Amino acid sequence: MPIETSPADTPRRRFLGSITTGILSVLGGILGVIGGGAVLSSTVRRQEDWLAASALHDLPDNEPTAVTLSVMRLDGYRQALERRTIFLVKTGESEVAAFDATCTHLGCHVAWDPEGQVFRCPCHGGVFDRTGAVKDGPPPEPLVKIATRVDGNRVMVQA
Amino acid sequence: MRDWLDSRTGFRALVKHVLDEPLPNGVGWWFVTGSIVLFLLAVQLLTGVALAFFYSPSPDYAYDSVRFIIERVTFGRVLRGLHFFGASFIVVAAIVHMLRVVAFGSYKKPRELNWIVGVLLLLIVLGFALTGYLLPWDQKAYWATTVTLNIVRSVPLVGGFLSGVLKGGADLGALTLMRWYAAHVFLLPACLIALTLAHLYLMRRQGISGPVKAVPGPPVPFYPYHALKDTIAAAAVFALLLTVALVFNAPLDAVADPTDAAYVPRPEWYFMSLFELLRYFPGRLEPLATVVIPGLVIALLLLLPFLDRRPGREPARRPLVIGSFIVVFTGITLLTILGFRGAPVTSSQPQQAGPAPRGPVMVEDVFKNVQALKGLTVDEFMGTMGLMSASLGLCCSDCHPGAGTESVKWEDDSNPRKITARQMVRMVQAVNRDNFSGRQVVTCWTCHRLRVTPLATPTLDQLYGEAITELDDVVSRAEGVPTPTQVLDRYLQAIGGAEKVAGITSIVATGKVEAFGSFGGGGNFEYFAQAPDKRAMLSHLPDGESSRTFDGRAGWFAIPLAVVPKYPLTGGELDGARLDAQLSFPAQIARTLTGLRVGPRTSLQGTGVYLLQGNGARGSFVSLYFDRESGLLLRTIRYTPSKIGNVPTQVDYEAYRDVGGITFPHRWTVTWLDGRDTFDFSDVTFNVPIDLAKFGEPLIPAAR
Repeated sequence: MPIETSPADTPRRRFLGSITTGILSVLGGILGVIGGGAVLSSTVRRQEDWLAASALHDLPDNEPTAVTLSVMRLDGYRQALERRTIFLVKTGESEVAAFDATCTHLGCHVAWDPEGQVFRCPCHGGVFDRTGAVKDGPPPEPLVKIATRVDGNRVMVQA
Repeated sequence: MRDWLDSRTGFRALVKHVLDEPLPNGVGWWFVTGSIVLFLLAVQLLTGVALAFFYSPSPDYAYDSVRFIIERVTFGRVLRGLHFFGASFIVVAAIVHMLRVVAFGSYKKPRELNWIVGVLLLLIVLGFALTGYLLPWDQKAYWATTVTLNIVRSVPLVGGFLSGVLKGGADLGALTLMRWYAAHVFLLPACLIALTLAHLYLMRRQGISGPVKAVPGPPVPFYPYHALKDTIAAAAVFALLLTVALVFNAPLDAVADPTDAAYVPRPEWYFMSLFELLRYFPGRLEPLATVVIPGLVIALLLLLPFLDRRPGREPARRPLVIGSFIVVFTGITLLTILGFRGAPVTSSQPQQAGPAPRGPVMVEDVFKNVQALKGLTVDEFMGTMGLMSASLGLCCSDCHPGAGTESVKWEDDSNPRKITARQMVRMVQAVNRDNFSGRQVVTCWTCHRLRVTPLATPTLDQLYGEAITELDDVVSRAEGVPTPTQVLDRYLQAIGGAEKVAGITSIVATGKVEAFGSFGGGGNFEYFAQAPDKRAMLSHLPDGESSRTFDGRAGWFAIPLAVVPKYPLTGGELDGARLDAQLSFPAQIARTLTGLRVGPRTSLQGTGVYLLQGNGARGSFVSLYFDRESGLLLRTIRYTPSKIGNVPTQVDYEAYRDVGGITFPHRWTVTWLDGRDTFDFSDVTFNVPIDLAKFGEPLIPAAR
């Protein structure tokens, strides 16, 4: 059964109560920072390597070519084979542009439409031109561009 | 908003009911013990949930995921530390709480049921500690659980069944880990929460017992007067726990290895008394220690309120109860101390002396820009580097610009070979994992064979040339060859007779050494070996001191002008150093190596030999080549596992000469992946005392 306390006791109770709450808040805060910090912060920075994606002479001029990169990545505490599809576009004698095939709307894979000369997303009708810029549909941003360099006849991409 | 919530839930009345609990006047600091346990349980729950975000309960990944938590997760080391050390804190807090209840007679009528619930809660806490132990899947986890399962198996009548239930499968493995994980994170927490709520409900229903002698005065509300005491006590305990978690690393052994017969399991301190008790009840009496005595203590604890029914709560009026608790508590404390001091009863190994090895030097502590081979110790890392360069027929400077000079930049990535090497390491690991269950069937050597670019097309000349006679790394028992015992008996006979050889307890020798095939210059060496497992090879070279020592427990490698001049041995290299020390004494070969087999007949440079092979700890194995004519040992190769393949170390023995009736090889050629040393022995003596410091950590070699 709850007990009655005198009104004169109220300020003291309130003061001691706030100290109690304060200490408990600090304890909860420390535990929250440790537990929350562990769970919420990013643990693995994506490690990007230069990978050989294609031979330069295999690429047609100005025609996007789909290439699947297979690379071993750290997946937390295990090694996993990551497959990633990119498009390579030979834009000059020894210049190649590369785009991630992932639509920037909701993550479906775009495909090159040779007739329309555009990338089309099969999910919600997003359309991108050969430079990756949005031509139509809901995608908020252009296709993600990937750094490239040409070593002799090898096209290297940073992925 | 609060009013709306209150109108729907009535939470204000509930909070008032909880906080305004009337406490008897005079409730002091002794009554904070229960709140401390409750607070620590909350810490375990929170940290356990956070750990579960990363932990993987499978033998393939459990250990890696724990290492991942420690090394990569933000605050991961502290998080695991809080959970690990928190377990010990809870056990202490729960026992202190129980002793407080006993001292104050708080278990008496009408609080009998709450006492029983409290005892069950203590057992649940110990259940948590036991099940949590296996989860890291390290050596300690595996072997301590093996002992636990065997203890359970010794229970009369139902032991086999219970042990089977705990194991989940035929052996301690994936099903066991899953089972104990499920118990640790689902079953036990459910029981804990239910019993804790029951404990709190019963405490409120009966009221807390208060001081032994009632203090006159009106009751005081729990909040904030006693709540503040509880909070201050919890904060103090948490400050201590956090300090411990910050200062000390929660231990993590090497990954569990079911083949390691040398590992000596020791339980955590709270189970040490039970472990020690086993020592006094050997053989058929074992169930007394495993079931009868602990069962009796638990039964007496549960029955305490019914055995002591007199109303008085003063300790002085309850000498039997207080005396029994003092006796039992002292007994448990004594057994725990004896357990820590005494030799482990489950080990057939001799007790090892010397200081405990310090923490390993990790590769990230020494080198920058390590990517594909992170998490290795320096010696493991150097082994993998040696394997790579040896497999491709390259030297350090082929990948690391300036290697071998003072201006080397190991971290430099300008050479594309380094990038390729990282990709190849990951590729080979994936090939082995995806196709061979992680066994190292494919290594650098499999394809490269001293070439940078592996051959893709069969060479017809080789196809129709001489047959390749290389034996597999691991040989099977062959037909038409002597047994291992016959080969070893012949060897012991050839070097002086089994009895005389068995009498060798130490070897001291000196002589001349040519280091790195004379590349490192010549000098003097000292060799010391003491049975059963101590060894030191100390070379005094023009560039400084080179040494390889093993003191029976820890080992070190030191070499002048090296990338890392000195480092402690760990993992495979430590196992290798132990094998070297044990095999220094020929009479010990048969009991050092397991699974001895004699392989197919083969030859060494035209000399017919028997190849005897046996296993060491953790996947290491040794090949011994004995001359078929003389019976003498001509070569040993020990193979120790590394992240990317086995690391071979070879010793060729020549120039056998008599020393006091023992035939001893006076020329040893030691070959490893990075070099070759030749030792010419000139002065060999047996059974002389050796200063144990010779086997210890060497001084860092000073360049001359």
